[in-house]
Amino acid sequence: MHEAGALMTLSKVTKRYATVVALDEVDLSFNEGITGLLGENGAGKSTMIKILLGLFPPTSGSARVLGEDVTRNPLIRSRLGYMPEHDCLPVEAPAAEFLCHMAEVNGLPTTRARMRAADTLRHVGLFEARHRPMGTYSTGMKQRVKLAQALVHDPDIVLLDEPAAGLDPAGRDEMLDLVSRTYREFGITVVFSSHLMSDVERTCDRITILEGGRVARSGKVAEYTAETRTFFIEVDGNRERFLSALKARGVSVAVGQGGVAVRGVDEDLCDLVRDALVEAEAPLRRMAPRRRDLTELFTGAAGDRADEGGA
Amino acid sequence: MSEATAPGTASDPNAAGVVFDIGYQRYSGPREGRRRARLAVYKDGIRKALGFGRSARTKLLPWAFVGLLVIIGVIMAVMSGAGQRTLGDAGAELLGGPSHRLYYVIAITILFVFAALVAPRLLCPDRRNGTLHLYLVRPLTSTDYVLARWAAFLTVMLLVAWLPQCVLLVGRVLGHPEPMTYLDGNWTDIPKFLLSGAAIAVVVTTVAMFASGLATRRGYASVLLIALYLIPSAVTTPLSLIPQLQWVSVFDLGQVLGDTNTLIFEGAPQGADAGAQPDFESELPLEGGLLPGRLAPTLLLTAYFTWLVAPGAILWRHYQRLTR
Repeated sequence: MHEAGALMTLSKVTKRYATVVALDEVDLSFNEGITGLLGENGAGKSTMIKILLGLFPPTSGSARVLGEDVTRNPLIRSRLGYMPEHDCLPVEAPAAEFLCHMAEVNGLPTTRARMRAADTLRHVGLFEARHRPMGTYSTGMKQRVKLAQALVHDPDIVLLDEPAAGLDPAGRDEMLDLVSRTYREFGITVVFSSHLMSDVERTCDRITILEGGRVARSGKVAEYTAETRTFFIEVDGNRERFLSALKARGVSVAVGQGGVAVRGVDEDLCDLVRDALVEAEAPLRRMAPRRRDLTELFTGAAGDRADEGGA
Repeated sequence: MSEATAPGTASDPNAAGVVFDIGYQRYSGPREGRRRARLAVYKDGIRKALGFGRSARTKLLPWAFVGLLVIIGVIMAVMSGAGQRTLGDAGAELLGGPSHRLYYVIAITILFVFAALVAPRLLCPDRRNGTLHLYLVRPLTSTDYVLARWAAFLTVMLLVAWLPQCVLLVGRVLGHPEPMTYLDGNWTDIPKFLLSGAAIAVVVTTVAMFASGLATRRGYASVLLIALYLIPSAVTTPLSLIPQLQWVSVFDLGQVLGDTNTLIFEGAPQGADAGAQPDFESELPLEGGLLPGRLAPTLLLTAYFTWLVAPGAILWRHYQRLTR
């Protein structure tokens, strides 16, 4: 299922470690934009990223990045950026020196590397702290340096492994904003793995869900979070009377999450809801079509696989 | 009164000396590929080894060793100059005073301790901190990385090995009543001490990088290296006193390097490797009297290249496997 204009493709990629199959005949392509890679621990997210980076070859199948086999042409890696999930920063080195060095390792001349390091640190909000040893940085600052080292050489694609891991809510917001800007402002394609649906839903254009080394689902986030044929209604008081009034009118009702869900989106239903609200004297707070969230999609994928297993 | 203009804004584009924050930009300049990548890792290796750009505490250790070795060179130069001026060339030679060969005999152990303490700085932290992965996702192979680090430490070792020899040479030349006559008669010492220093530095570097590549903690690598140097020596020295077991000295790195040094300065001993010669010349007294005997040249060269190739190959293989 490769799409035209794909920047990275995996064709029947399998990766085995002794008795464990980390990826099982994966066919997948990554296009321009921000793609979220979702999956539980051991689903194969990190293995997929490392294969795309050419850190190790697949057991079978082939991985191509920007049209090249990355294990055979290491030079293509100068157009990739990688932010690992684990710690990777030398604690004694200041961020400015480390980033300059990493830019040089990507082939940039020293003077250019120094300028890029300063600009990138300013971009991630660490310009003031750039001469401090990184061992003195907070978790949030370290995550930003990790992102900066992935961007310092101006890659075409960055692969981010759990970029918001370990961050507090404010730090998470800032990191996701940086990830989002990386594509929206600079056109750098982003692939990022996460455990959290909310991060992916908020940041990504596309989503790929991995389950046990296989692709469970893949597509545009907007398609998965499209409006459903259900209205969600919240009232400020007289909720029980409102429910009774709806049921008396033969409306199918589900109760949950502090509100009432009614199935159907036609005008007749809206009239029935209006009449029920009037009869029950229930002040309306909110009434809107309900959107599906990615959690349902993920549990749905797990459910599908469970069904397949049971069949 | 004019309104203040914040640096980095475009309100006053003609102001001299204002730094404009244009933020993150796409890069369209040159990319120099693997050559630049290898050079960067090499330069970084030298910085790490000698503590450049780091705290005074980090610099202290390597530079203390450099200082110690230079001081030894200075002392030997002073002793040599004093001997030549008071006893003349013949008298100084008869007493077997300080020489370029003897300097390495004394310095080998110090060089090895230096390598044991400093070489782990080049490899261990990258693996311990996880930085190695950041190198390997760039246009650099594991072979490039290991070779660049190896070359960086070899450069440092050559500096540490040759610098005191240069001090000693200057001392000997200036200490001689007729410096040009001394140079004319002893110029071959220069290529010999350069070659011998390189021979010692190459093996010590390779063995040190091998041990550093196996450990993630610098302390463990240092202990492993010191053990690799001392334990075989403690076992083989008494055994080598038995004529039939003298070959066991090939496991003693200090002995192999010492004999290589002697071979370069003094050539092969008379009759060595001829016919059924023993592997060891147990009765040959050496200048300085620090070694009980010498390995025969063929066995010595075999041992030398084994000490060079085996750890190097294991190190290379080990880093290849890290990316599989």
